[in-house]
Amino acid sequence: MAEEQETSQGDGTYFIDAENAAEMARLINQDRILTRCMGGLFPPQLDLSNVHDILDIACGPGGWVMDVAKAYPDTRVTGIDISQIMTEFARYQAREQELLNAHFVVMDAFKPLDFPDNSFDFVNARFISGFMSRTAWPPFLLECLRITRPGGLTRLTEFESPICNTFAVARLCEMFARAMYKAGQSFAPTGGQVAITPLLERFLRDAGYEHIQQMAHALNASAGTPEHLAQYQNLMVSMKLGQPYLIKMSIASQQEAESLYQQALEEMMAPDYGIIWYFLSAWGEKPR
Amino acid sequence: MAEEQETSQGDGTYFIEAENAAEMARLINQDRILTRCMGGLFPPQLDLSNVHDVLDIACGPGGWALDVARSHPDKRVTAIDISQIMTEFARYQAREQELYNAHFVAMDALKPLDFSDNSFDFVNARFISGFMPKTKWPTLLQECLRILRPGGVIRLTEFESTISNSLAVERLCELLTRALYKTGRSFSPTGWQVAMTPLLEKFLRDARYQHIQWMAHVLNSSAGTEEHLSQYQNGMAFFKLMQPFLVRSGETTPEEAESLYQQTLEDMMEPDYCAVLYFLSAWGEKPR
Repeated sequence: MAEEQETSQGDGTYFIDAENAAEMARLINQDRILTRCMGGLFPPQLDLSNVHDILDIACGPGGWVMDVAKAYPDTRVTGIDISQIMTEFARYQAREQELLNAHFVVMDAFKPLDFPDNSFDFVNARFISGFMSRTAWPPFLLECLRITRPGGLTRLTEFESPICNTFAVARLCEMFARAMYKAGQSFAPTGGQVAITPLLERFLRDAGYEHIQQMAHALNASAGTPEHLAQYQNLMVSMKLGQPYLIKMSIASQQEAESLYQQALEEMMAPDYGIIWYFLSAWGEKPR
Repeated sequence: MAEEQETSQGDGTYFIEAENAAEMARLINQDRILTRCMGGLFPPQLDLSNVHDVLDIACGPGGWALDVARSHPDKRVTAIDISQIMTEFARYQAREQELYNAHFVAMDALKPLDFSDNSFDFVNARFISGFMPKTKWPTLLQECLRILRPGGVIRLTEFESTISNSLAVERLCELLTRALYKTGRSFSPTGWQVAMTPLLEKFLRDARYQHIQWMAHVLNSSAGTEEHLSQYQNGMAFFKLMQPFLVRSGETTPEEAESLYQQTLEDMMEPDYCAVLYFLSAWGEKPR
């Protein structure tokens, strides 16, 4: 959902303050859970023997980059993020873990990317719609195409709003999706959903990528599942951090947002609480 | 989305008339597309050597059951549906294709199932929430537990509402989920989604199935994708067939429903039309 953005980037449009330590802690936990739901670090059946240089756009605290650097010591992995504290944290972690093949650079994904043409074999961008405006996608993908090597891949992964069977959680998720639409970031005109995932394939196609594939993932965090507690904590933090955004976008009053938030916390602990996030990866190849 | 019902069953609670030839034609086409999106007939990594007797609940015109019978001539496939014309059609198809291991029986899944204990190794139920009252799930799953052999597997597959960038499609889907909620068949109190899929795992767990797994699937029917035309045709039939249900539910007028329908047909042919349907399979084993 809107609150599942993994990063914090671009012209102050991300709805949680980019330099926030609570947000960083949240992202560190989410990162590994999401990779697990995706079935691994890379798309299935990808021939990794041709992958030498890897870029992660909006890397946040660097979880994906470090996992790749650790699992594939012969690759060079670069992570970029607009946040100073995220990249510093990631750099520190990489040093601690002696991952000399992981590099972190502060860079704004909204601007032309500071890499030469044909620099990477794999470009990864996960959960960036939290700071991407609707119109920013086409130029962004052309930049990705430029820095991807012929035969290399770009993979996009985005969320829809979670689907939930309790009132306050569902209402808050709808409010975030509506705020995103108002802010020019989501695609569903009535605002009940983000509707970014049906567009990923087209964005890649329009930019000139070939052999596009897609794969759905689900994060089920209903009561009684292994992910319940982690996602309770995740929503507790992200719904709180997102409150000022709802108010700023005139979607809810402070009082309404807080009262829904309190009710949501209760609902999430009920034994019949059900919630699921759908997310989609789409990847394509730069023509050889 | 709700329009993806594969069947037509139970006390007149299915929202499209069960004995309708247009609905049957629609289901025949949808069936194979859904199986393809699911990556095959059975869950991945299922040991098929232990599967001899297979049951499909609410089989509609029998597509899944016939495919199983054809690709696994060593298995006996039984399929039930409340609809006379669907089961007769399926039986005729099986004879035509000389699939002597496929059997079709008219039976109501909301009543006790007319099979003895421990009869099946695999029970399949796909897109049955269109006729299932919320409260009936535990009963059906107990019945399935009874007729499964120890170590046998049940698989449930259900959908959420379509996510689209068309206002008319969103609005129609919202009307449908609201009508489903009002008539006791969906779980989302705000009415934006079905919210069935987060609960599949819990239903299986509560019925004491073990080793529960789940997997997300996606059907992308945006303009320019392979499934665009087939889903245009599906939508054309489905949105028409569900009109009487929407009107009866009091959520809309015949005039509004028709005008949304016409707008939907136009939107679906727009070059930037995007829509995606998420669905989830969850499967579990009867304790040995």
